[in-house]
Amino acid sequence: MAKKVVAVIKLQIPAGEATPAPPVGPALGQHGVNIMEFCKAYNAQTISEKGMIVPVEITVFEDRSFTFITKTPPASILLKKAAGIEKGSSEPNREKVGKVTKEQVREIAKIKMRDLNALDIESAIKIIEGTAQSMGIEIVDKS
Amino acid sequence: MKWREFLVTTNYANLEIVTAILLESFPQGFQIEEAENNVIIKIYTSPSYPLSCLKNLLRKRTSCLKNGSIFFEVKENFIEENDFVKEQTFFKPIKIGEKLLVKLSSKGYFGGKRIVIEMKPGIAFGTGTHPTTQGCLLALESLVKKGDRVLDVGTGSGILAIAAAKLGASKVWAIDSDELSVKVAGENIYLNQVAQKIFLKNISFEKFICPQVDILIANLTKEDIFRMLSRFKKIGKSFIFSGILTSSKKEFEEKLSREFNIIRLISREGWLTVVCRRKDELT
Repeated sequence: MAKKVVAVIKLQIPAGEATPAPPVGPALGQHGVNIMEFCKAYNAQTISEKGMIVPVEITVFEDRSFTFITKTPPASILLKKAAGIEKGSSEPNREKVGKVTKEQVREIAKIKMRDLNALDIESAIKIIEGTAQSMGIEIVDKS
Repeated sequence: MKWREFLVTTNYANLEIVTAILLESFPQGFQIEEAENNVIIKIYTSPSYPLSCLKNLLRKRTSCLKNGSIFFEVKENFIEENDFVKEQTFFKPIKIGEKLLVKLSSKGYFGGKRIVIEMKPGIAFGTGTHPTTQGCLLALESLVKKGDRVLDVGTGSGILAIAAAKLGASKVWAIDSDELSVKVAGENIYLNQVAQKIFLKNISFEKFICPQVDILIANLTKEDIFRMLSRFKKIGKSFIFSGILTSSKKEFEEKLSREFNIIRLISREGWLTVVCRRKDELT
């Protein structure tokens, strides 16, 4: 018989660098999950992507065992990579820090499609465009 | 240690934008909780980080959006570290190999003739339940000789350093770059009355000036071990490497075979522990 699920925990944390400190500790500790066991498994699986944020969804069962799946990096990380910048703008309406093409936005929307709360590719693109705006990244027709 | 917890509530449509803004100021990440129609982002930061600062950040960054202002709400709490590391009651005494037994300090004595390692309850990590920890304990049991000098890189709860000391090592260096781990390790070392043998320090391996040791333990990840391997070789004679997924066994063996003789492989639940010796150290 399938084990009963007691919680689903979602985290966005740096790949390969999970430690028992917050946010991992409080999220897992309250469900009695062995925190270090999770950290070990997550780090081993994500260390090749170090430097990225790799979201993870952890399913906790009633016997406190767990499984997890990793998700696609947040749109902001993919946008920064596409634009070749380290950080977003602190004043996005005045200071633009980078550019991405419409084609790149569409690519990112495609990658993110399965994890976004979007009905179709067009609404996924809107979400990515909004994220780019809030970071001071301009969207241009061609590079 | 105290933490400040921020709860940022927003809706699904704006989740990507809000997390994009937050990730730049809080690179350590956060938890995302689903509420009825909204999402709550939980961030943990030092108690000195003011709420107004977070509010300003969100306001400034969202004001430029073409579709007008977006919905978010911010609240704060203070939490104690002990609040989140709940007692892990599922933990039962575990016999390891021929000589060791790991148990919670709050539970009765079941050790018999075994060497007992006590771990403080309420702390969730490195309690001996993980296959990599067990693999390392098994390896230590057969490897440690009276009077050995041991270095434990990434000591975590301190369990391996304590085991080495109790198995007869004369001096153990235990280091970890994580502050919380070192605090916990210190408590466990004190509890096991091996403080006079163990030198504990909150430092990364790269910065640590290493003594020459008989046994070097690294229960980390494959990548960490590969990165530090050339330095490991200079300071140790025998090595216990763990935290390696069984799927990378071949790659690991190949990398090691040039300069090390593998003397034992311990495989448990998908995790591998490797015991090896430097090739020029054949005694």
